[in-house]
Amino acid sequence: MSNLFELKNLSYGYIDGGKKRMILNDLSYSFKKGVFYTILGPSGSGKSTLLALASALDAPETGSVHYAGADIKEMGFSQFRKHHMSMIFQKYNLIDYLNGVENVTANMGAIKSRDKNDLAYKVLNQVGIVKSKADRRVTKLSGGEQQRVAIARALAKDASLVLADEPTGALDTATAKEVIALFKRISKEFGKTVIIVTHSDEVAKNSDVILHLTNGKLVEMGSEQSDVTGK
Amino acid sequence: MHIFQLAFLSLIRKPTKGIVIFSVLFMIFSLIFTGIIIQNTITASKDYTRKALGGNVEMKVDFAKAMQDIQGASGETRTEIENQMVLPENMAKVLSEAPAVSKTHIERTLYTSSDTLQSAVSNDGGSFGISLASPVVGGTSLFLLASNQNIPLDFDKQLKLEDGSFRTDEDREKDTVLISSEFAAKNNLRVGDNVAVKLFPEGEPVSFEIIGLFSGAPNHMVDQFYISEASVERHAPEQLKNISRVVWQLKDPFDIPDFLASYSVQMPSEYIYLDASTEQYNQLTKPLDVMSTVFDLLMVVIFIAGAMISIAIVTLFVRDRQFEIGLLLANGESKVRILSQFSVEIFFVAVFAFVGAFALSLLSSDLVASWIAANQLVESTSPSQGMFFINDMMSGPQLTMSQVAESFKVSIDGDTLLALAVASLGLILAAISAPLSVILSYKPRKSLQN
Repeated sequence: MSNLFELKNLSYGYIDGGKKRMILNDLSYSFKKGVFYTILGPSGSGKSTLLALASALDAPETGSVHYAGADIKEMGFSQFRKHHMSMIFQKYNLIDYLNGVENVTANMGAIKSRDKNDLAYKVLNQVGIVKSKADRRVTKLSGGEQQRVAIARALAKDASLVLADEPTGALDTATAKEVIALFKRISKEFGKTVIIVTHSDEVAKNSDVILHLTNGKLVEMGSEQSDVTGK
Repeated sequence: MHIFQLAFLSLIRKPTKGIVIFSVLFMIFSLIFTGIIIQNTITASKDYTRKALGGNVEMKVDFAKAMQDIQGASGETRTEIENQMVLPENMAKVLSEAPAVSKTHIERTLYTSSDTLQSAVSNDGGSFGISLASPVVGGTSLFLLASNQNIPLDFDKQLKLEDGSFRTDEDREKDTVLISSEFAAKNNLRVGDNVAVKLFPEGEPVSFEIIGLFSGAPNHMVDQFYISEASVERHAPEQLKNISRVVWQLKDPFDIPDFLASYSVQMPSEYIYLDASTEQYNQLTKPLDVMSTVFDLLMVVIFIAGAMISIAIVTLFVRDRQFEIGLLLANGESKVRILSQFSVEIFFVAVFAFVGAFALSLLSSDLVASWIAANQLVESTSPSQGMFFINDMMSGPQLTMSQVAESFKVSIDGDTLLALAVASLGLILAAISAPLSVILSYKPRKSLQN
């Protein structure tokens, strides 16, 4: 399986009490296409920072991030975010004055408006949001439904890389299971690389590869199959 | 999704911010528009006053200065000063050729008396406390005003022809006179009668045909007859040197400042000067000038305060949406597109506020004009001058205050409107750009965390 996404020698730290504390320390890892990864780690271990660097929401102090062999800095961070990756947040992060389908279409590229709507409804339906709900303002939807809309938004963008930060953190157990199943589908049916930062063992159990962020480095856990590991 | 669509949905579905910005901008624009309308009305009022005072420029003798210089002067110098006080006819004719001049009035005043005619003026001496109607030389004192024009200047505003007609060019060879109705009644005279008058006390009586009777003469002055310059030429040419008044009527009252600037320097002596009711104009328009200064200051304050309030409100509005900006950045939207969407939202609201304030200004222009006419023209000037100005100098007693207000009704002209629109939109763009440029300089992660 080929590498899609690569973190090379990433370092990142911040000043704490006058001293610099390194969160990520010369971290390297390669993510393969169509594989579902989870990254586990205790609070403050740098999981969210790692995801922010991977999604170009922040820039590393040293090191680089590569997508399909190209440095995303050279590609342009906004270009990378716009065309190659989708981000899903714990708090859904939808635009509150838009309805479900509008949130999905707002994130699509240069597709005709009518086609965009058709595709958005289709994707929303795939994640369990029927048309009547898709047409509601997102503030009128439940937490689980909003997260589904956020997932649909990521899917509709048709990016190869899906990054998610605690996507089930605000959901009840039943809804969380459904969302985890959705991520599995995204990975298997749509061939997307999914990287989820989580505290949840339930999420981790369902992923192909479990990574642990320890001492600023990613370490693979033992349950994964050898052909999908990045090392 | 198109930025216009996003901007529209944002405004419609989250209207609070739009209403707040609209209210603030509407208030600021309304204050500015009203200020401009008041300034325009003041300008219109001053123009109106200038027109009402007319486009007359008079060559006058500065008697006060002459008297001061004569005191203590030797006999020779005194004669020299007296010679310099004579209004020069050649200067009157030179300036009559000026492009701005439509008509030149040259008047000679001849002082005489009559043993047979009775005065029609009262003997109470009027406000001066003396009676010029009393015989000085013997008999009834008379002033003969000889004009080079068929219609003497006093008929322009002060006097009104009640019976008969003015002279015409065909009457040049005849000796004709205009007398007051009161004088005619006192002496049992009518239009068509002849009256014998000496042109100077020692002269021979000349028979004048009465061609018109007038009203409006001040009742405390000596009886005045209006005769022609041609009659003086025929019967007493030596009296032609006694020029008492030279007035140039300009085609446009607004040419007065240029006319004064150009020709004042050409006056033949330091005792002769040009006057265009400037003092009266300044006195009448002084309250308007005070108002104008006050409103100038207010406008500056409103504009600066308005700019600061706008920037503060827009900054709050943008900062309130920092998370949305972070989300849009995380989705890969360009900074230009985000700036465009927010700008469109604010511009959309600003245009509504601008148009609404302009519509309100059309209504306020009526109110301001009525207020200026009702309060500033009459009440801010002295009662006599105010009423004189409104009723006598403009269109006569039938003029109503609403007609005056209509004359002062002004709205904002297109150029001013355009300049204001550009300035306002520039201000709003600056107000948006400042906070947005700060927020857009953040990394998306920081915006999302905030």
